[in-house]
Amino acid sequence: MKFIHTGDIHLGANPDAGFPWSEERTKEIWDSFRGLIEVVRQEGIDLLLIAGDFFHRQPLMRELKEINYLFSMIPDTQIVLMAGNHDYLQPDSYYTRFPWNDNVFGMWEESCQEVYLSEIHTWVYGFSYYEREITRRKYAQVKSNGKPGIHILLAHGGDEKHIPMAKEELLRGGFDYVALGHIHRPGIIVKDRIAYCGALEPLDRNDVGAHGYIKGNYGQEGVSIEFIPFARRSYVPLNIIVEPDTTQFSLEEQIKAKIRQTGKDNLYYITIQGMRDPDIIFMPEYLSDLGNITGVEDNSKPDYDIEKMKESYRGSLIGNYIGHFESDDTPTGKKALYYGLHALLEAKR
Amino acid sequence: MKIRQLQIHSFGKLKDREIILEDGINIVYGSNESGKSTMHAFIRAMLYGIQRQRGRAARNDTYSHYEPWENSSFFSGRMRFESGGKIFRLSRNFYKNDIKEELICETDGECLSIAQGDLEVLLGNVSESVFDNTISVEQLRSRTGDELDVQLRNFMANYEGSSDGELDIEKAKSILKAQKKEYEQKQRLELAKQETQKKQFTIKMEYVQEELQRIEEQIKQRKSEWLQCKSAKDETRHGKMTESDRQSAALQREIEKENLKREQLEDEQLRNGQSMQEGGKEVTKRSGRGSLIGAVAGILCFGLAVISLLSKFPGWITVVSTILGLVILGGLLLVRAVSRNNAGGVADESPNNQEEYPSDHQIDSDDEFAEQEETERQKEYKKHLRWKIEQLAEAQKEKTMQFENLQADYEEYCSIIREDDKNQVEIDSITMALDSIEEISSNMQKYWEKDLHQRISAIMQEITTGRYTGVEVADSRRIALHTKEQYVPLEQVSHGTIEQLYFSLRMAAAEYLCQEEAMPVLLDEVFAMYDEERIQAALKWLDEHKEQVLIFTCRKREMEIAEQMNLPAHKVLLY
Repeated sequence: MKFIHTGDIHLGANPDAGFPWSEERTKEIWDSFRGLIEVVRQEGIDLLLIAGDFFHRQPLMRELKEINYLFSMIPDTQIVLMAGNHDYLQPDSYYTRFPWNDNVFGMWEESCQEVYLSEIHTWVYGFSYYEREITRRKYAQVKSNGKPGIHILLAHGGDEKHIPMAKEELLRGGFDYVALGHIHRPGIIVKDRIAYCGALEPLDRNDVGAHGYIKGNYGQEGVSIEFIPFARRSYVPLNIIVEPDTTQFSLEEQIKAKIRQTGKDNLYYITIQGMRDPDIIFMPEYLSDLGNITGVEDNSKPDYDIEKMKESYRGSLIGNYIGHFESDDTPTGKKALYYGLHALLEAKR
Repeated sequence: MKIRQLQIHSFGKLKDREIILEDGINIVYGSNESGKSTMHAFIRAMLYGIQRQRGRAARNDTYSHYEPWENSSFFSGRMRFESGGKIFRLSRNFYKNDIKEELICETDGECLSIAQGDLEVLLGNVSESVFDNTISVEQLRSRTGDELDVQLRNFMANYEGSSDGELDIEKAKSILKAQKKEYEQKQRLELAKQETQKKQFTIKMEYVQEELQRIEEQIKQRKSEWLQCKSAKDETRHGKMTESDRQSAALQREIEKENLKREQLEDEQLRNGQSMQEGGKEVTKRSGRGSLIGAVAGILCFGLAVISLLSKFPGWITVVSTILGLVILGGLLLVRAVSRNNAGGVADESPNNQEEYPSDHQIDSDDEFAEQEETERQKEYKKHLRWKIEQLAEAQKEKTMQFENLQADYEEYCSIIREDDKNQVEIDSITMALDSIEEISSNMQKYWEKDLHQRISAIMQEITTGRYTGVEVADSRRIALHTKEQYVPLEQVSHGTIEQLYFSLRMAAAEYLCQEEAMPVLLDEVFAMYDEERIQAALKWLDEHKEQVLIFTCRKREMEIAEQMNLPAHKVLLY
């Protein structure tokens, strides 16, 4: 039995609103899911699991029509859905009212339900979110029915406000595989047993790293899974280390080269670190044009030897000023120290 | 602390020099370019090392200025000094690739650690900055082209706020304010961009809302059409309705309409379709009752036809009653089929929509007697209306959902931008820097003001042999001197007097900032503007108050005057 475990597709989301690529990303998320259906078709996947947050918000009727059409293209694949915290079941949700194809099974109950897919001899367990937040450990009690067949739990959550859970609790349930959604970063919790598929496409700049889906197989030896990168773009944190001889231009060249190297379609968050010439203040607004830049954070420090300066200027304003900030480790405090120091030294020349 | 000996290996233009210094007044005499300032810089470098500037500033820093052109590795020297009755030897190599420092107490052979702060203690914790601002004095020079009195006033103002005459606090503040303004400008631009984005959200929302209103309007219209259709039927049915009957019927309709609206908004239990199914059953039941009555009527008509046939009634009566019977039966079947369709359709396809249109209950009770009168066309039209209202209600629901989704998107966007205001961090930091400078500076000023002015006055009185009795500093920008007879604003006194005031200020500050250790005083061309009398007074003051003084000069005057005064001055000649 071959299956694909995906989730957190967030159809309808518009990531990075206000940035030039935002609308394109909205479309890409749809395209990516369509691409996944194509993979399912080509590879003859038996079971497609979608572990919640299929939609970013409440799905509209016409959107479900699109989805159902896609599902009709893979009639030999069984599809199991659930609603997560983003697309939780509101009283009039179209999820429950939609006339789905015969190969689609929605886990629309509030408490755990099981569905038996006789063609693939598989039991799938799960339930949906009826509100945005659930703090009860609802998965702690869920157990497989012990009947012959493959037993898969489809679950969503795992943080404090979204059904907290521990892997021991899940392991006690006696499932062959637990397909988890909600955490956007893919991760295997217990090898071949419990895994987060991660968001199919990354959705904001916190979703760094590779994104895709999990491909699984149930054979003689039980379940084996592997992560398949599939996302069209990645959010890449770009750490640029500057030195006292770095100028705005050389910084720009450095960033351009890195973007060329990592792929120009990717979305970059630039963090500037290191020691800069105290007289240079980088202009982040000019860096935004070098590619798809989601943000720039300048954490570089002016190349001052603070300890030495404190000693040399002891007894004068500059010395007292350094002393004043000595115990302030907040980012604002650190920045204030450097701003003030720069201005004071500038005023001394 | 007293400097005993300087050994210069290579420092600027000075090479392989050994200079001995004595207690009391030392006069270092040399023509221009003979290396007086270099020697002054060498002493400073020995005491504090040479700190390299970084970045571009390194090109003309102290290091580059005094680094020998040849044999940079000899960029080094040695100093012997006395402190607390012991002799110390301080050696330094300034060469950047081979920086070395060493401090040895020659008296007891102990090796001390500069890194651990041993030298700091011997220097009485006088920092480089304090050294520059007190005991190491250069001629008051106007670098900005300002008059000397302005220069002194600024120096004094800076001094009081920062213990650093070179540090212009107002300038520092204005640099920070300009930076802050820049970030505020960026923030405004950013905010404007975000507003445009927000506007795009609201435009979308408004658009959906307009559509929603249009749909609601249409629903209202369809419903009133439906009700009109129904009331027209009512009137034909109860031909002789009184006016009051009609009014109460209209009132009843209004109430029903209101009820419908309310149900539409509030009714939530219908979502699982249960109630709808019940409604559906009712439809079937009721139309069943209708058909029973119809059947009875049909049978009656049929009976009439048979009787008329048997008892030789005229043929047309038989024909009429037969046709009537058939029509009624046919109508009956049709109604049954329609009501089954309705019940089935509602239950299967959209079980949640009962509240969207007038309830079946109404339709059926109306239908009960009116069936026969209603034409096919009317029925079709009503069916169409029902279907249309259902469609609209569905569209309304979808639009409402879309609107709520957009609203959620909008809120998400607002919360993201709230967290992501980087300019605000910079603005806060700069504000914090400004406030801190202000606070520290005013604390320092408070500390100074009490005693400094008094002490300046005292020194000034001594070195002007009583000509000036006091110095008045209203605020640091307005300085005036008192003589026995009058009050003289600073801008009216001579250069020499301004230099004297500057000297007094330096010496007064030194007394406060260098209390732990009596440090040597280095005076670089300080008496250039002094007349003979003033030099005498200054030398006398220095001899009485300072343990070691180094006077750097390119004139012989100081030496001659010291001789005249029989002051034991040690002479150092530089060539």
